Amino acid sequence: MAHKLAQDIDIAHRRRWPGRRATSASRLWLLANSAGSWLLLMHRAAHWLHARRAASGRPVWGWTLLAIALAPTKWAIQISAKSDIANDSNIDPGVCFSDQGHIIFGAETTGAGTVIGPRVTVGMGLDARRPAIGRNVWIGADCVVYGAISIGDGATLLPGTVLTKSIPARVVMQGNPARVLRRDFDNAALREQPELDALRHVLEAT
Amino acid sequence: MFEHISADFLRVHRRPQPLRYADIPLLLWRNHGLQALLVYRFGRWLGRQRTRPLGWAVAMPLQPLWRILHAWIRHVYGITLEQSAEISPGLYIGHLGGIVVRRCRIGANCAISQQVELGPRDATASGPVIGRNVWIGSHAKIRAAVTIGDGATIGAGSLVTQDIPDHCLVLGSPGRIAQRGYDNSAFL
Repeated sequence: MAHKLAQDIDIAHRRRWPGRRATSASRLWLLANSAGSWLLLMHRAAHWLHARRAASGRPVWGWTLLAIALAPTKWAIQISAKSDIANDSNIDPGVCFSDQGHIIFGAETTGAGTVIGPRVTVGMGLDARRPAIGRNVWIGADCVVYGAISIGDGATLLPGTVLTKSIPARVVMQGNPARVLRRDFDNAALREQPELDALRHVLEAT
Repeated sequence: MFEHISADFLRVHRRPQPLRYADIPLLLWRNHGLQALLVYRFGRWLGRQRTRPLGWAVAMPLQPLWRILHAWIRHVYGITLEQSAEISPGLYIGHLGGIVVRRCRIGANCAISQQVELGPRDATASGPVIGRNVWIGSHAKIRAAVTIGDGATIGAGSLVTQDIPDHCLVLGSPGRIAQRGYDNSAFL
């Protein structure tokens, strides 16, 4: 779990201080004031506990007590980031959540290198199947993704996109309902530079 | 006030078993929206007291308490239910964050979610009228003074700018009627 967390922190570190070498002090400082990292850290703990409780199959007092002990911290992180990540969501190491929060996240799987912006909703509680997000996906602010869909590796969702259908790798989607804006687009710059104007960057790159 | 609150509680208690008093703390803990609705109904009750003879004697000492609770709900949960809204019993508020309900009328048994905005930004303008059993998806915005029919379904992220008849499914931004005679009872 520690190495997973190190990868999560490294991607947030690169986004916050591009080109600066990550030391243990700078990592700790990042962890202290990045709401997105708290959210992910708390999710990793809650996810581990959820898997243990599901594996035991029946209520176990020890796990229940641990869950009750974690609940106040989880609540504090949830309300400070105004976010909620489903306990059963599988998030690979090296994912970055926006520090601005308002993220309601319930993807079935999320690949490494994916960056989630603020005010994003993924998955709907009433659906039987929830989205599967590939690797190196960039999801901009105010996006909504729901349904039994899969998002290909390296896809880009520009801010304000509402996506309900599966998309292939490396496409750029925009609008509500979502339409393909570009194909075969490399979103590495978007994922590394949080200050970038996404739409302008996509239009100028091709 | 209490029959309204019990309808709100029954809305989050989605089980065949009847609601017991012992369930109330856990329901409140889990549903930030329910806490917000309780504070909203308390504020509306205080507002009604002021129109009654000697009602100010009841309302005045409780007013500061309501203000503190209202500020807590707004800043901590990001759920703003303004007193100018008229919310019928049995509203369901999913998740938290970015929910703004301003001047508008909401029918019974509706459901809203995170990042939903209802009512005009201008405090003097009239707001939308939303029917009964309307399901409003996350990130939907209804700012104009439109009428939404009973049993309508507003898809996630829609911006509704026109009147919607009963039992319609609205998708897209600006919202278009994608299907008529749509039944939302399965997920309401």
